[in-house]
Amino acid sequence: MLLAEANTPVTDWIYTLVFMAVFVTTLMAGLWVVIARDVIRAGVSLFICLSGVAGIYFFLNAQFLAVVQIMVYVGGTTVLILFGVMLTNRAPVLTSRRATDRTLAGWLATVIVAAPLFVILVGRDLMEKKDVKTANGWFTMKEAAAQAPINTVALGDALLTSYILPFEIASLVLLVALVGSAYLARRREDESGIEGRLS
Amino acid sequence: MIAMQVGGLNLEVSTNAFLLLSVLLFSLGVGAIVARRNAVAILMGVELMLNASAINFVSFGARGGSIDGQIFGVFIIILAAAEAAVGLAIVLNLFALFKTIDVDQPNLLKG
Repeated sequence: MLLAEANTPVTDWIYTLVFMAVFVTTLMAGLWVVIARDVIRAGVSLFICLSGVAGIYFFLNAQFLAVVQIMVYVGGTTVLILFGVMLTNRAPVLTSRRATDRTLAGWLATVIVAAPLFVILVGRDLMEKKDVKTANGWFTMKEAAAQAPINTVALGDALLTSYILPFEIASLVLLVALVGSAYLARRREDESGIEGRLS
Repeated sequence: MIAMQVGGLNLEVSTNAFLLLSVLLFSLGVGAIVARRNAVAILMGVELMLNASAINFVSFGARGGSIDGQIFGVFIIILAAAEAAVGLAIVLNLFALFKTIDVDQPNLLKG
């Protein structure tokens, strides 16, 4: 309350700087996921990228989601993927046989997907500038009456009232998927490869 | 504009910055899926795309002042965990059968 009028340019500057740092880190790590030859390095940069996405959630006022992202995604899914990398690569060759020899096709696909989305984004920005006079830039800081709701309470309320059925279905899906994948990935008696399996 | 309160300070970043990040991460995920041969690296591309869509949902939800975007984010995270588990089980089976996880190596159905 005492700091309510203390929205100085310095704090704005720090806020922008932190946001830009998180933005650039997430983007660079995501880029490295695509171009790293070593799959382990791609996994570690995926770790950094998902942590950056958690930081982005903090900037989006979604604190609970950020913590869930760190716990489930960064702590669970990434570790699972790194397990997958290490279980399926025969040492000492940690790279895929041909890591990225479809680089041109990959970049082409990236540009083909990014370009229309970017055009839509810029077009939306222009349309917004016409009727809303507060939208005056992509990284501007403005004073505004922020009515941030108490995040976790609202989220829990919504999950257990309006979204109770999807919530239960999601928990069932997670249970079935985890049991099914544990069954699929179990160790079998014959590890003779596809030739032995087909004969 | 996405506003945020930090100790009484009102700070905000434009929604477009988040949408720009979402667009770039999504297309990088598509690029990973197309360019990679390693099945686990393709799963990483799928994770990137899922995260990009979650950022999109949450930023539009925050813009509208609604909690629904975050609900979608929670469900995306849940389903991504399930997807990663099943995908890795399939990849491990692929490795047990073919001793490789390059996705262009298994060609048993090729006539």
